[in-house]
Amino acid sequence: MQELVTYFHEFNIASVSLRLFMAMIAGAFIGVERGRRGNPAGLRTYMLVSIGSALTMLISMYDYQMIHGQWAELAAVYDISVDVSRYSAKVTSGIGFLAAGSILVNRRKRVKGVTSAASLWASACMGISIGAGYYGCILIGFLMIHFINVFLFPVSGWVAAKSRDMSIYVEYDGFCNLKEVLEALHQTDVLIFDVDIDKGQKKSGKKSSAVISMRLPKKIDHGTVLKHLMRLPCVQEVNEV
Amino acid sequence: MITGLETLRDFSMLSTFAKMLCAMICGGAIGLEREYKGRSAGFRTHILICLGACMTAMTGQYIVIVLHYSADMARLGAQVIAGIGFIGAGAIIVTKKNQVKGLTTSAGLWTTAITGLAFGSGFYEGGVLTTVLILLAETVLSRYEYASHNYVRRQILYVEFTRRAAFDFIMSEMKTRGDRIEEVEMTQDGETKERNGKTQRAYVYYRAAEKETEVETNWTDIPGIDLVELI
Repeated sequence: MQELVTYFHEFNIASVSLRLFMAMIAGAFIGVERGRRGNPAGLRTYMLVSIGSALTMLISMYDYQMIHGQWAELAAVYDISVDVSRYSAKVTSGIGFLAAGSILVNRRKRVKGVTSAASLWASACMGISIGAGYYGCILIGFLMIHFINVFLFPVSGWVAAKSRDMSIYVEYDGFCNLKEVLEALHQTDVLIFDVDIDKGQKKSGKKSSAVISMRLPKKIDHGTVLKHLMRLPCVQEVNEV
Repeated sequence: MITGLETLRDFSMLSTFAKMLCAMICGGAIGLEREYKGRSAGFRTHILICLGACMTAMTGQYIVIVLHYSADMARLGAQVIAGIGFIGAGAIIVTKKNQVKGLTTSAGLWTTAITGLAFGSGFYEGGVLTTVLILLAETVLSRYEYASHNYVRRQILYVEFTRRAAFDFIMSEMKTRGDRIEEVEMTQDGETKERNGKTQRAYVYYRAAEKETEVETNWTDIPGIDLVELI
């Protein structure tokens, strides 16, 4: 048993195949879960990122193997050395770029996809550990990332619902009715921080809308505010963003 | 450095778990506060970033200390600092009113990543202390920052207008009030051709004569002016 463990910690064809395969499986598991939630990055994205980052670690281990084996004499003469962590180090910044590209801003002035970006980046980090053969870390890391994505999802929803800070998107008829909306909000004792107005266009049929961010008084929950605004005749759509 | 934690700074299964659990808890604590404020990067984002950084730092040490490869122990972790900068940059937006939003959240995300690096290296003290300080800054000190905004005398007035004369009238009103206008920035919106003229946007950067200046409410009633707002 001990021999087997040492064997898979060494650099040989069996451990290389095992690690690449593990990277694929682990990436696939996280990716499937993300893809099911309708994220742009799904199964294949995570799998590719994970395999790639595992491979960077293996490449530099191969380099190390070569200058201590086949090229040992050459290395001694020319004083060649290799830093095993250099390839993989660039993965963290490279995938940072890739992940940042998946973040987007929608028309309701809301940034989306930061969690997806973070989880893509985390799976790249996991890929590096897999390449290095740090099996303890891989197991715990994989379980934790999966736990966060699956079980902590309701927690963030719950916290967001309890929050006293709230942003809403309102669509209403005509520009003049914003005053009514704001007056209705004042009745509920909310403190308004910011109003972002979009006048809309009559020709293309784009309605006037506003994104209002505010702080609620202690006793009121988010639903009450939304219902209160829906009662107004001029309001057509209210959403929390 | 606190003595007695030596076993937890090692590379056993237990210490690996301890490092990652600490990263998860501290990342979660910072993220929870952001989630409560309804920011774009919340609870899970912070945990994932913190955990990823922790794994990277651990792997960097592992290949040198356990596998005895020749490598720079700090190099893997060092790139995390650059990588998270990019993700943070993606979460920053510029609104139509030339305001930058999401900067504090990005900065917090970046610092959380570094906390993760500290835990991954086994430097528990640094990680925990930084987490406490971040939470202090976000919860207590943020109030002072918001309060200090009221004392800033340099202000920006945002005006949307269709008639140039109407805008000039506002400018002359401001001058008679004693405001010192430093810069006027104007943009034309090509898409909205409403009424007789194109809608123009102007940002007026000025130093207010008095500490608290309210927008004159009757300015919006001037024909040709659509919107006047203090940013």
